[in-house]
This record gives sequence, C-alpha cells and structure tokens, in this order.
Amino acid sequence: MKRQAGSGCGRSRRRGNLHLLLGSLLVVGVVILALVGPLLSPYSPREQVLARSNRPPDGEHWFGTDSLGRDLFTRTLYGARISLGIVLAVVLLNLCIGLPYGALAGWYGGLVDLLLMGVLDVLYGVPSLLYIIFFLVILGPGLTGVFITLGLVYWLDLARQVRNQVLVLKEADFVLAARALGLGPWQIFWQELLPNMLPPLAVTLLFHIPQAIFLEAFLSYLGLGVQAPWASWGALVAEGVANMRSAPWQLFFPAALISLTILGFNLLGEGLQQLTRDD
Amino acid sequence: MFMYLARRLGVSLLVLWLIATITFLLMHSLPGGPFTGEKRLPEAILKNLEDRYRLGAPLWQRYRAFLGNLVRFDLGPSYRYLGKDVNQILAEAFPVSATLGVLALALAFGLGIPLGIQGAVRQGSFFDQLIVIFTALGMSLPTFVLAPLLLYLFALKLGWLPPALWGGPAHLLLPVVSLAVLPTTLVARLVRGSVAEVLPAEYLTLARAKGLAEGVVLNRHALPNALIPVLAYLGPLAAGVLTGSFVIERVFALPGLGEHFVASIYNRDYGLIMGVTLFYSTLLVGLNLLVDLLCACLHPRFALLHRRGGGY
Repeated sequence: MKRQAGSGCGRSRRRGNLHLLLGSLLVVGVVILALVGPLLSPYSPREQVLARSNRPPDGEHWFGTDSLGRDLFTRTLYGARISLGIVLAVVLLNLCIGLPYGALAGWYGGLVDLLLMGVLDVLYGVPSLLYIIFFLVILGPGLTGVFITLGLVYWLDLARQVRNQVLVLKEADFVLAARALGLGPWQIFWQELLPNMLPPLAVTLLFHIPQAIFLEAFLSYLGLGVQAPWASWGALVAEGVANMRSAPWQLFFPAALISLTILGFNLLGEGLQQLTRDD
Repeated sequence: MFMYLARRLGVSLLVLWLIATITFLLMHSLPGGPFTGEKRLPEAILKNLEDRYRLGAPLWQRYRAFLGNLVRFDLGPSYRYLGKDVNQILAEAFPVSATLGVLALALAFGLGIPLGIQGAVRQGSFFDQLIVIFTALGMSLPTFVLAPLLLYLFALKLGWLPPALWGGPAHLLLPVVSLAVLPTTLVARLVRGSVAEVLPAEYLTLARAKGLAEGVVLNRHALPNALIPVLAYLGPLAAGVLTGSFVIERVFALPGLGEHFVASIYNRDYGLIMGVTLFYSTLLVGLNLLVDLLCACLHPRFALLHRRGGGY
C-alpha cells in the first residue's frame, strides 16, 4: 500500500514537471515575442495602408494584413503587450487588496473576522461579470475602466485564502517564538507568515492570470476594452470574426495566440500546484 | 442546520438589495442622464423625455419607486426600443437563451461526469491522459475563439450545419456544443478529482469486502459522495454558461437575451442593460441559494463546513 502511494506521488511529480516545462516554454515564448517582436517588425501597428488591405499571410506579412492594411503580426504582438500588461497590473492590484484584507481578518479573528468575512460573503454573491460590464458601460469603455473593474474581482479569493492560512499559521510554534522575541504583528507577518504562505499563494495567482486574460479579452471582444486604434487580443478576435468569410487568417492568428498563452499559464499553474502538494 | 439556512437566505436577500441599489445609483450617476448623446436634443424634447421616464423627481423618490417596481418584477422601460419595456423583451428573448443554457449544461453534466469517473477509475491510463489533454485544451479555448472556429469549419467550409439563426435542432447543434465545451471540461476535471479522492476510502473497501460488484461499489457508494462538489459547482457553472451565451448568441445571430444585452451595450440602452443585469443577477443569486440549500440537505456536513465564513 505504501509503495503504491509512493509511486503515485512520483507520477504526479513527473506530470507536474512536464506541465511546468511545457507551460514555462509557452509563457516565456509569448512574453519574449511580446517584448521583442514589435521591435523587429518594420511595420507600425497603427499605420493604415489601404492599398495592401486584407492580404493573406506571405513572406512580407507573416500573419497577413487587416481590413485597413495594417500588419497583423505587429498588431497581434502589440496586442500581447497590452493584454499581458493589463493582466499583470490587475493581478498585482488584487494582491494588494486581498493580502492585507485576509491577513487582518485571520490575525485579529473574533469580531473583525466576522465583519470582514461577512462583507466578503455578500460580495461573493454579486455576479461579478455582469457588474463589470455594467460598470464599464456606465463609466465609459477604456483602459482605466477595465483596470479598475478587473482589479476588484479576484481579491475575494485571495483574501479568503490568506485569512484561512493566517488563521492556521498564527497558532504555529514559530509564531509563538517570534512573539516571545518581542516581534510586532507587522514584522511577524512579513518575516514569519508570508514566506510560509507563498507557495499556495503563487499557485492561486498563477491561476488568476489565465482567467484575467480570458476576461480582458472578453471585454475587448464586447468593445468595452482598450479603444481603437490600439487593440488588445479580444478586439483583434472580434475584428477577425467580422471578416471571417473573406479573410479567415485575421481570426486564426490572434485566436491561436490567446489560446496558447492561456494554455501556458494553465499548465504552469497546474504543474506548480502538483509540486507544492507533494511537499 | 437551521441557522445555516437562515443565514444563507439572509445573505442572499442582502446581496439582492445591494445589487439593486448599486444598479440604481450607477444608473443615476450618469453625467447628463441617459438621453445625452452625440446629438444634443432640444430642451423641450429632453424635458418631455425626462417626464415620460420620470427622471425629474428627487433621487430618493425615484429610488423608492424603483424598489417598489422591482418587488413587483417590473424592470422598467427600454430607452431604445420605443414602446417596449424590459419585461416584454425578457419574455420574448429569454426562452431562447434558457433553451441554449439548459441544453449546454445538460451536455456538460451528461458527458463530463462519465468522463471524469472513467479518468479517476483508470488513473494514469492512456484514456486518462486523453481526458487530461482534452480538459487542458478545452479550458484554454475562450468561447469567443471556439465558436467562430467551429462556425468556420462546420458551416462555412464543410457546409454540414446551418451557420446562424434560430430554427430546428440542426440550428441548435453548433451553438450548444460551443457553449458546452468549457463547462464539460470543468465538470470532468472536478469529477475526476473528487472521485479519485473518495476511491481510497475505507467504506469502499468495506463495500468490496461485503462482496459487492465493482460497479455497485462505484455507483451506490462512491458517487453520491463524490458528486456533491459537482452539484455545489452548479452556480459558477451557470454563470459561465451565461457569459458564454453573450458571445454565442452574437456569433450565431440567435434572438436570445444575451444578444439583446450585448446589443444594448453597443446602443447604450441603459434601461435594458439595467433590466437584464438585474434579471440575470437575481437568477444567479437564486440558483446559488437553491444549490446551497440542496447541498446542505443532501450532505449535512456541507452546512458545517461553510458556517464560519466558508472553510474552503
């Protein structure tokens, strides 16, 4: 029985490593493309050359051109910069809200915990996507709106996770030792609690990234995201869908890049999750 | 148990009130009101419009009227489709969306549960690897990518299925499948995980020791426990299908509520946006409540687990 469990563990570790490898290859590849690609391209993502509109992919335009004659390769990579940039900022903003919120609730417990978690319970009940769309329609579409609304979605999960972890960890002997040494809550949090919460927190953050990519692309697809002439991935897909009959490549390339990026982050998250579970 | 039920009911009512209030305040924080467009309307017309939609009264009076209407399920007028109110549009369009959504969820459970069980029972086998790959791919394809691709392949290139509009079962196939892929993969993953978790349990060994056939052990003893998390997941799943339907109905030109919602975003038809948001929110909140109550009845420990601000 014991040997069986051991071998199962090894298998999941091997699978975790494979996921990590594939995931990081995809993610690093996309990030390098997003950073370096636009520099190598001789075309501007905004310059319209109507004479070369709707050209299929060839040696000159690797991904073809769009209906206004803009090079799709350049636009897709600029889109990657915009999408990934928004997502990174959004995930960090959520961390900045969720971490202190959860830590406060977990550390002080009692009435503070009851109050903070009650608020969380109510917020959990609100269907977030509908309200993101509603906010964006009212506030007006655009980068700031997307940033603010997406910044307020994922901290709920984080806060709950951090609170549950702090609740357990604060009873640990090493925290008692730190208290006995006269460390304040602030120092205990940074030096003792946070390092111990980091691996599961990293997994959660990694899983939030593909979700945020998904959501940002969805909002741009609805026309509520970054506005023309700039385009994030979702807007490119929306344009591609409109021209699907005559110029299918305008759909294929942005669609493929979004899916590969989401796949990469999903694999990375899963690999990391399996590794941390084994430890 | 009773405390849990009462608490869940209370929270749900609080959520509904919060949603209504946020919606109301946002709607009325619009600079200049819903009729300020690119073209400036003459004063007299604006005045008439505001009287028609009762925008002139003080805020708290309008808030009271708004809540009163809501309690009577009157979601107010559309600001774009003249003479129609949101309730009429809901009555026309929601059946289409509901058909799509229910069929997609049924497909997701009908396919995802057996796939997940097989994956868990034959862990590490070739079949299991296939499921893992399928779910990883399914989770990485956003609906707005998958639906146009399927449309392109099966309707435009191969010509097997109609590309759009609302008609017979053939018209339903592509939209339902594109809507169901993501929930199917999520259900399959969830079932695979939760079945794998209960498989080593001692009560299953006991059931086998009693001489029960493997199929009976699985169906009668393992599944009832393993499927509770799946039931609990119905709420988020329904929310996901809802989001998907916004895209699907647009791509396949279906006359559903999602299409109206997205069109109302483009038209800035604030009345309709507000109405649909409130309607769908209430639906989701109600569904979540129902699922939680059902879970608590089926599995009393569920209520215990969630009593203190959620233990997951």
